[in-house]
Amino acid sequence: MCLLLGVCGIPMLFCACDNGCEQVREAYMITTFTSTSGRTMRSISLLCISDTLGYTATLTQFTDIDLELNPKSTHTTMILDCSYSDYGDYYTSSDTVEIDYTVEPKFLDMECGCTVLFQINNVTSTRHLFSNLIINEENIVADGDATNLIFEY
Amino acid sequence: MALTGLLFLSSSSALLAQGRSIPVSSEVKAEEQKELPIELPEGQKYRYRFFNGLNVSVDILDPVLHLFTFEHASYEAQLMADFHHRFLPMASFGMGLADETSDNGLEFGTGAKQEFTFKSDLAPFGKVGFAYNFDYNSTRPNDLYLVFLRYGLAYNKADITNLYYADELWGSLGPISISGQEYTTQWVELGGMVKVQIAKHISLGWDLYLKVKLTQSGTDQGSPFFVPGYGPNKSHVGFSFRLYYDILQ
Repeated sequence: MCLLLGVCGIPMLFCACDNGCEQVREAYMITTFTSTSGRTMRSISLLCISDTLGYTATLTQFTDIDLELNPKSTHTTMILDCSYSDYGDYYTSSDTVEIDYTVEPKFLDMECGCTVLFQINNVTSTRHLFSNLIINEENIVADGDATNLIFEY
Repeated sequence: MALTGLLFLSSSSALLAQGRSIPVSSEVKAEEQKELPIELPEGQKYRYRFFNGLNVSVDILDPVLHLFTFEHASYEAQLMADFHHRFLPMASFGMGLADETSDNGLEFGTGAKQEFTFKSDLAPFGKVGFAYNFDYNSTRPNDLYLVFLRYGLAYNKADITNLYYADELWGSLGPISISGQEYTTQWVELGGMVKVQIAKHISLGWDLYLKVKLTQSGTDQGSPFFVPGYGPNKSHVGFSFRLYYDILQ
């Protein structure tokens, strides 16, 4: 009887599987813009270039923004056109940020395949608006929630 | 001879006089199993001697599934000793392998479907553990109902090929390979097992257990899909169907 019960339990054990991928595969660089000068950011237009590829975006919020690095390259350039207010007056400014990083694939599982791990090696920026740029967390992972870059202005 | 015949007749007559029929073969077998006294003599703690036997077993479920459907398997042989029919230390050794291809391919933002492969060549694993029989003074010496705790250790090396990473902005990246990944895994198993004798020296049984990983190294580029002796890395329940042979009884 016990043997029979065991054999009957086999299909239940092996059929209790899920074929769908429920993990996050995309790895985003989380950035935050922090005012240290009393200025208020109004909008940012982003042009992101890597090798011969690029994309544009308009950032409407300035905390925990997800930006994508190019996984096919080890260098991405971001041009940020910022509109900000300072004591009631409106200004625009443009800064260029250069990010060097390494890319490594990371296997997730048989349902999801792989994601990539970015590791930020170096970041340089012009200082028209941004006064400081901090690498808070150099590793960019798919399920990460830590802020990677902090732009101070 | 005459005396035996007389005794048989008298015992049969006695049974018939009590309104009972002469025992059939199954009843005789049951009677034989009852040869052991139900109550132990005063002061005797154990019914069975200190060293009560030794058996070897192989898991036959994984190889069968590997033959027909699974693309991974662990081949395992186990040695188990019996002390007082109560304490049963065990040790097992085996080899496991995987050559798994993703089932349906992956649908990426580009619309392309790709299949990737996780390949782990034959690699070793070992387990040591301890089983306990609560019913150690049972009158059925050949059947066992046990709870057990086992520690497992495995090493395997894997190559994952033809991976693709989809990115809506930058396009699809691939094919990527993650080669020569070496994993060392430690885990514990806690469960129950049954062993039932089906012929002289031969028994069948199964183990059903929970698995908990303790450590896993070499996972910088992701955890393995398969660990020899453990099974799929994300699984938490294990099952074995065993064929036992009693070496010493």
